[in-house]
Amino acid sequence: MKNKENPYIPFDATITSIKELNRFSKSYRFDSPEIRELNYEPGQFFEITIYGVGQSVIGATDSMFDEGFELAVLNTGGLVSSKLHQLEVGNVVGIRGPFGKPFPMDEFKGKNMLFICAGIGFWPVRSAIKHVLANRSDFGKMNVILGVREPSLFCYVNEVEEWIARDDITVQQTVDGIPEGEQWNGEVGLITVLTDKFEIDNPEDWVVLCVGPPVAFKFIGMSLNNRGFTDDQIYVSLERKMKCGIGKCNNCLIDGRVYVCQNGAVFTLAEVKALPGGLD
Amino acid sequence: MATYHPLIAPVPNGEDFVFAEVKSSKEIAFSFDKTKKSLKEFLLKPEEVLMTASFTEGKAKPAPIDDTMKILFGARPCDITALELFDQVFSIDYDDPYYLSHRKNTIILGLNCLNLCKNGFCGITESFAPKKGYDIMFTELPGEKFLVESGSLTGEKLIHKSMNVEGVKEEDRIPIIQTFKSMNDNLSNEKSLAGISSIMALDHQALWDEYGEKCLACNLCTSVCPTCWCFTVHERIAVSADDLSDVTKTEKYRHWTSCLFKDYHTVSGGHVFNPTTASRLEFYYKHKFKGIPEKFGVLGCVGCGRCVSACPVGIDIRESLERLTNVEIDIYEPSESSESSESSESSDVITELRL
Ligand code: SF4
Ligand code: SF4
Ligand code: FES
Repeated sequence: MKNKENPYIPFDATITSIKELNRFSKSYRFDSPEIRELNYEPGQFFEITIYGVGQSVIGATDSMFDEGFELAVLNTGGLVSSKLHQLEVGNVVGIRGPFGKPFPMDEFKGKNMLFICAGIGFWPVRSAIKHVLANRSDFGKMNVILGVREPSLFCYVNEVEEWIARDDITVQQTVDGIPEGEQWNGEVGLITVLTDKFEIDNPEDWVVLCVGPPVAFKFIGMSLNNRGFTDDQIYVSLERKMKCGIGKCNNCLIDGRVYVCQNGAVFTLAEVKALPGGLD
Repeated sequence: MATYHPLIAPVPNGEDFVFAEVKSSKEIAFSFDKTKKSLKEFLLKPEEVLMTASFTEGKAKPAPIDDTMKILFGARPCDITALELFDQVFSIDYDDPYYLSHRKNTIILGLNCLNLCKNGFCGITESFAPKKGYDIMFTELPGEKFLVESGSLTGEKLIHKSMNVEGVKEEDRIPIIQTFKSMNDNLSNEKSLAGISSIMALDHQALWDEYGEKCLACNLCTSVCPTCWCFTVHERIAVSADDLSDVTKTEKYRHWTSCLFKDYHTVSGGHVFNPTTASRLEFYYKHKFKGIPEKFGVLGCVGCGRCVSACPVGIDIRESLERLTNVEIDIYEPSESSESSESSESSDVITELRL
């Protein structure tokens, strides 16, 4: 992390482009001298400050291997996320980070990779997917499962189309339902309709990266256990309130003892299940 | 050349005592049970600006830290023991420049307790005799005398510069040893909280539910507690009184918060991680008696009893610990007469140390 002498001070970054991901979400690209030197890994997160308004913690959606540093923001209606949605190209924000333990991508080398992305859980996982794509020969098979509430909520659609067109990656998508007026010819049902059908004969050769709402972890975990995966092979990323990112403020503690900002936010499902309240 | 340092010391406040800046040693209460609040507010400010920046351009600058050297007299052993925890919290992995600056610039003059204070149980938590964390420790001896010991180089220098501090004489030997013997008899306790971490991992739902029904989540216990340090960080526009039209100045600031507040566990989007008061009390106890010991090697409670005195609905940590561990914790009510009288000699020493 930058600014080790005063870990609370962000560096400035200018918004260089903004994209609408869906009607609730936007992605932002930033630039600044500090960003050009930024080193971060999939699964790590940043804190973005809108000076005078507030701060918010956001997982990296990108990898360092292509276009640059990007964060995606869902407008929850809260003060900071709605202000973020009003920002324009050229505006300056503060950035601190990266924080947290990344997905241990090096340990996954040689493994087959299954990515399960529920809702906006896709964003942090995308960072890991891009890492694997950039180092494709280091990994075995690659499957991506995406689930959203309704078809219009899919994000990074063009990019996903490109993945679908490749022959070294299998993408499956599902929606919880189809509201009136929306078109969808694919699978309908919770994300477990796809994990339930996941066909493999060598589960020990796989690693699963799964991000979504914690309640989904319970059901996805069960479905994966039925397919022969153990909880140690399933990596998840947890969301908690975070104010400092450096183990000082206690806001991210689970069970009064595990710091999500330092001990996570990436955990194995086995670790999370062992933690009272971990799956809340 | 004499340099004036602000002196903070216990002063009477209604039925209680509080730390306040004093101008004369006559204002100082030398016999005080303990201050109502701990001394943490001088090191971890209830609110502190971390940085300023421009609304439009950023360019964040760390806020200047008030680094006036202060002398804090009357730190009780429990409060000094708590500093062992805070010193770790604010220097582990990343230095917290604000806390560390206040800590460095606060000379801690401790005052040993010879008897247990109201609601205190520092014997059980073994926090009545800190081995470090202070610059000078005062121990009241019979005959209006004080034993003055240094705990740091700063303390050592202060003592040497003080005119009315004499070397320990042969006739002082016995009274000194006896004072510590009686202090030990009065404060130490053969009982302990051994196993508390393991016990915290068990299910105590009935207890949390019972306390959860009573607790108002008012945060009085956590704000007086010397070992609670949870804070939150916010941004605001900082309009200066000099130029009301300039609304471009912003501040990042932090302030104390409490794990007993629902808001503390609420994330963007509205999900609350510990939604009931019972679950938040469980979190509070687990942090103090499992999380803190695991990470920092010390208990998250120094037995000062302030939370007991503060709680408007009578939640008593001694009772909870008793129910958790089955170890009986004696309740001690000091009698008025056992308190020692004011000592003129001690005030001289303090005055002297201000030089
Ligand atoms: S929990 Fe209560 S008794 Fe323990 S240190 Fe805090 S205020 Fe004192
Ligand atoms: S002082 Fe008592 S009522 Fe208030 S938060 Fe603490 S335990 Fe609950
Ligand atoms: S976010 Fe402050 S301790 Fe984790």
